[in-house]
Amino acid sequence: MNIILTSIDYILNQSRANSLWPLTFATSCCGIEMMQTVASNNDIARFGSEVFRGSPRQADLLICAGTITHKMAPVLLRLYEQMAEPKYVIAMGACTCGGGMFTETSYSVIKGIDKIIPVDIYLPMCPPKPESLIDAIRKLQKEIGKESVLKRKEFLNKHTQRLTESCGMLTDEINVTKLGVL
Amino acid sequence: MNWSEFKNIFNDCELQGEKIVIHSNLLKTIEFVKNNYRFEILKEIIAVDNGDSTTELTYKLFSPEDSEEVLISINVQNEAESISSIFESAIADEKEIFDLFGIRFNGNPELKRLYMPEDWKGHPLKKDYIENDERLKWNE
Amino acid sequence: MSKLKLNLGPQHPSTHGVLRLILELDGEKIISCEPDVGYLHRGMEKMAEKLTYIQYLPLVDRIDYLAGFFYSELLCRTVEKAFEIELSPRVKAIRVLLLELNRIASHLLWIGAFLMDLGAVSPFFYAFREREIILQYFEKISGQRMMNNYFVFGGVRRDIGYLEDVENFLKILPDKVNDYEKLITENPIFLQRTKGKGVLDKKTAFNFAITGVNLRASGVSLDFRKGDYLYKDFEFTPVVLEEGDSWARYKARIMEIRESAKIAAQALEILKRENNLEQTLINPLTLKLPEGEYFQEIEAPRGLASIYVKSTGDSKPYRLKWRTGSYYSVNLLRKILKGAYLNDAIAISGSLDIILPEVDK
Repeated sequence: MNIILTSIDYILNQSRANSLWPLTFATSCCGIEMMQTVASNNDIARFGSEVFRGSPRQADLLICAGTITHKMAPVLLRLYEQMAEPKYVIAMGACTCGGGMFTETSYSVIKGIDKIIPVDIYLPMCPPKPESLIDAIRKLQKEIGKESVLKRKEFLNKHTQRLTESCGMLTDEINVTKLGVL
Repeated sequence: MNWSEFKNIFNDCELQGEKIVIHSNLLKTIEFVKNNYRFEILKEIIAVDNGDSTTELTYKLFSPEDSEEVLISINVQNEAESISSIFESAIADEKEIFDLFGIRFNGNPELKRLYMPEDWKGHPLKKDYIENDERLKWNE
Repeated sequence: MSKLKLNLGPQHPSTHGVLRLILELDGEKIISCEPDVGYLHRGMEKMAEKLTYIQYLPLVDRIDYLAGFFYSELLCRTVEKAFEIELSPRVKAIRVLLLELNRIASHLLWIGAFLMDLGAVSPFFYAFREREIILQYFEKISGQRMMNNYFVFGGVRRDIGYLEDVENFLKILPDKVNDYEKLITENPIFLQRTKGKGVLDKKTAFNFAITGVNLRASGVSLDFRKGDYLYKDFEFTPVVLEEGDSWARYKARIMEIRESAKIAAQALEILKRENNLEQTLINPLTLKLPEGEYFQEIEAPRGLASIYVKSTGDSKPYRLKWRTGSYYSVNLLRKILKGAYLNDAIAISGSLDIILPEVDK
């Protein structure tokens, strides 16, 4: 039984890990380095992640590239909710990891997107070089390789729990639908 | 531009360094300067909170033909005349100042919050701004 | 007649970041457009009031990440003018060289992104290939690819090197630009999507305070580099085109890349001649700007950029304001998109070269 499950896991994980479709979610500086990662010299296609999607419904990796402000926070949550399972998040850049340069003095920057959505890989630096983004994607692929079908449910529950914990404040105090599409 | 001619028409003004400080008739002054001295571009409007519940607005006008610049400044309380009927770019500048300083511009057709969420408390660039919005609690 | 309200953005692959447009449509025709900005408002101006000048200097690059040198230059220039520091020819040449390379990089990115908006993917790869050379050069001299933080009050952080890299780049650039032109300029699909679309006349441009390439593509010869003290010894002609449509704005940027390359080559000549780096640096730790108001401006890739600093003689500014070109271009959208078709909306807004951190600050 275990042998069969392990091989199913292997096939699933291999397919998931090697065809990650990222969402084009570029809010600021890191977005340009993300574009550079797609472009000629760093060619992200070598690692199966070149299919950038405009719609969150078709994507399974959210590379949050750039500062998230209080005005943007509901949008980020909404995009995350719209993505289909299994979904993964890379927090790209210092701003998304913990506020970065804006931590102490800015009134409108959120200090880390993990206050809103669960994050799988943190990638600091301001902004990270394209090589670092590729490295982050490779690390995520390794993490995905460790997943198991049996543990998937557990993992999802944990995710949902983290999500409700971290954006409890958001859903309570802001009417997400009001701030979203008209 | 001809300062003495300007001074004759608008008595209520004085020259402070580079700036022409006026006390009233903002709309008329700007219109006059635009029509008579060909200042066709409003480069920007600079707002500075003086700290004594007044705000200084400085209008930076530019004449592309003579490449000349003029600064017209006025002190206002919480309200000011909108010059959006003369320069349409002023709509954007005034919106920004309304959001960050809370100054109402009478006559601006689209006065509402620009950078901050609509229900955000306070105007950030005022000197007495306290960060007291509930959303800031996320950052704790 | 039924009207439809359509929300475009803030997460849209073609809005260059986090721009949100609320469009009112009648069928395919846009009746009104209302830009909603602020999704990237980081409070740069308030931050300046809490930080000393040297603490604020690295942040300034983030105002426009595609052309960070221009904003560093503005802040440095404010301090230098306040203390009446005269820059040596070598420092001036270094600054001009880096500013122009930065302008080329910015325009190259724009070409890639704009053509991507129109559905052409290959120019993106071409333009980014050349841009990468510039970024790698910046990394060599300053240690960072985009947020260089290389200019300091009174000079530059360290002497410039690797000039042969720039020389090689400037040698290959004209050919590469010819390649783009072969690929894009006469392309019938490109012509159909840009010729006569989003026409901006001179009067409207003045009225909406449009500056920079967008204004020069509408037949106004207004380049703030003429009269700028850094560019005094450099020869160049401002690019002026008459049409004022999206195509003219594209062509003007292509021509400006060539013009910038010429200025950079002149700067390179000066750098070869003047070998000594003489600079009077200001000690940033004891820096207190004398009381008063300071205005400085420079021609940035997206229009006139200017800074206003009011100092009370303290180590921190009392008020600091930025003027950026993109902010006014976004405001122009409400006028220029009126009456256009929905499928041209992205093409027109893309042609204005809007970049959101500049808008939101």
